[in-house]
Amino acid sequence: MSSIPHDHAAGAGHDHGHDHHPSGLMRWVTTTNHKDIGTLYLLFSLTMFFVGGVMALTIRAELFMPGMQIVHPEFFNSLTTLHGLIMIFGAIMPAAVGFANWMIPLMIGAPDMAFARMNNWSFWLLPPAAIMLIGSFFVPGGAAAGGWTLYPPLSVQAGMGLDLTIFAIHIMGASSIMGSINIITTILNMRAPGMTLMKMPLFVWTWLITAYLLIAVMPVLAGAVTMLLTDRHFGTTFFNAAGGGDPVLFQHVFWFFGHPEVYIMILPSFGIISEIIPTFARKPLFGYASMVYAVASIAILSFIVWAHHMFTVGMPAAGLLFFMYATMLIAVPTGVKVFNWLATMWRGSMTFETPMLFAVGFLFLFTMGGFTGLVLALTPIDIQLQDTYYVVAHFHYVLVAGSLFAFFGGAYYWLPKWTGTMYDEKLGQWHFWSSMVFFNITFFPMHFLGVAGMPRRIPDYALQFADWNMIASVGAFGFGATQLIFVWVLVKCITHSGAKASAKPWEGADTLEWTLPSPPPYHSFETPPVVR
Amino acid sequence: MAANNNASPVQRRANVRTALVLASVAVAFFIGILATRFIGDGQTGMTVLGATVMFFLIFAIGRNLRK
Repeated sequence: MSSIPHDHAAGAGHDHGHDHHPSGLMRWVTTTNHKDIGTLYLLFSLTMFFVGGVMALTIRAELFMPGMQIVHPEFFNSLTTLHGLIMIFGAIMPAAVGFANWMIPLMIGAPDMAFARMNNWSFWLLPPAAIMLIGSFFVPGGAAAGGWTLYPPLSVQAGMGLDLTIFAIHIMGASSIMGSINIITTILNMRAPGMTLMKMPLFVWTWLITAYLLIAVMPVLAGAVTMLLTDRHFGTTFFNAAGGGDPVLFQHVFWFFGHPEVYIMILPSFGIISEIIPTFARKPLFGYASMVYAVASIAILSFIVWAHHMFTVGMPAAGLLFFMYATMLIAVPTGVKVFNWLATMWRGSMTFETPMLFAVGFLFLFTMGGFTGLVLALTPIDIQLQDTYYVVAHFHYVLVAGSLFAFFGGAYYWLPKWTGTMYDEKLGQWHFWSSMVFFNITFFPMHFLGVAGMPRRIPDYALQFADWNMIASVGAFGFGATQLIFVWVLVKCITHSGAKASAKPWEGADTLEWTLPSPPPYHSFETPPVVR
Repeated sequence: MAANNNASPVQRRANVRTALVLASVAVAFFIGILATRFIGDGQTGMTVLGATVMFFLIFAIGRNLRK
């Protein structure tokens, strides 16, 4: 959607008369405004990012040297489990929903989300769930400690912390489903006149498909943890072999949710990158239609590859082959996307402001994560690397350098629009370059550790792994400290200590949100713009 | 579920209709995943559910493509 002539005067002009809203704490508790709710999601996710980050740093501090230094092994296991759960359900997913809330109505010319009160409810379910999750550290038996995948039989035998985790997952799942229903309904029913599906910005497309994925797989996770709960407390034996159940069934059900979940976390990032690159290359996105079909293909394929996470459980050879080839097939639409991003940059008038730096960093590092994913797709190799640090390195390249870098890029891209103030470019560049360096110092050595055979989720390790672990821990603390720069940038923007942002601070941007002033009025597009 | 107050009654009805269809899909998957326990082995059940999801995605997005 590179050039959409439209008449925004009616929409923007109509807004100013209605620019009134409640103030104080109740504004945030009772708000039904998509911009407020987007802000709440983004701030919640940033908070959880730091909570999960502190857990990660505790893990890395313990692994700085061989031997037991700082925490007990049981607590270490809880840290790895809760770090995963909090980063996935508390940080990455809410961040993506925050972007969706802020940007989708603005990008499609809608006045708000379709179900404004349900939108408020979707957000306010999250803090109690987060409190439940973090509070599980303080109950008898401690927090869940069997890994974020909650595999039985360990999870059936765990203490009360696991029940809190299950309830937290139920609540967060309900929130996600309500959010998805809202997003799909908004996109399908509330687009501005003239904006056909194939004219929508790619960010909106990626969210439409992500929301379908969420509706399909969150109930599956809810079903899996419900069965776990009834196994624990109501005498059922879904996953208990002694009662005729099957522990491996849980893995099938879990990964039927878990693999699409990976794409739920990465597709909105693809959307953000697809907005940033054309803007800073000053060219329309190359192959728009093929990008849409590639996202849809990735989403569809994500449903038929789940068992590549469990090659070692003992499947028939035909099953192993099917899941191996199906997994490798995902590289095709992903390759199409990477090719199109590169082709968009080709001969573009590129500049490298912070959002573009994060987009290029994303492209480089996510591709590396994709390649290690291809390595792990090969059954014989995966059987060797299962549960080693190679896997840890792979998914951090995909989720940190993938999702997180894209979210940072998106935040820098839209911060001027959200706050009306330009971010500090120098600080932004420092944030990017130090993140890039420390990220690689942290996670690149993990490939070597994994290939050498270091297992994941252990607090102690053999002496041979000491050097790379020390380097990874130093990198992790550097990466953690670097993120404080982002907080500084954010505070400066929120307190308006910077240059005032124009309605369209990026020369190459051409989606609807840039037709509104920065920050946009509290109620925008009450009269829909006309898209031609 | 409160529909957007700015929306016309026609649009509100359309929104509620879409939401109900989507919610029923979520309920179907929740019940479906419990039922897979009783449909052959895990993989068969998952495959049935996976195929349903795939066709649903293709149909739901495909029918809106030209609107």
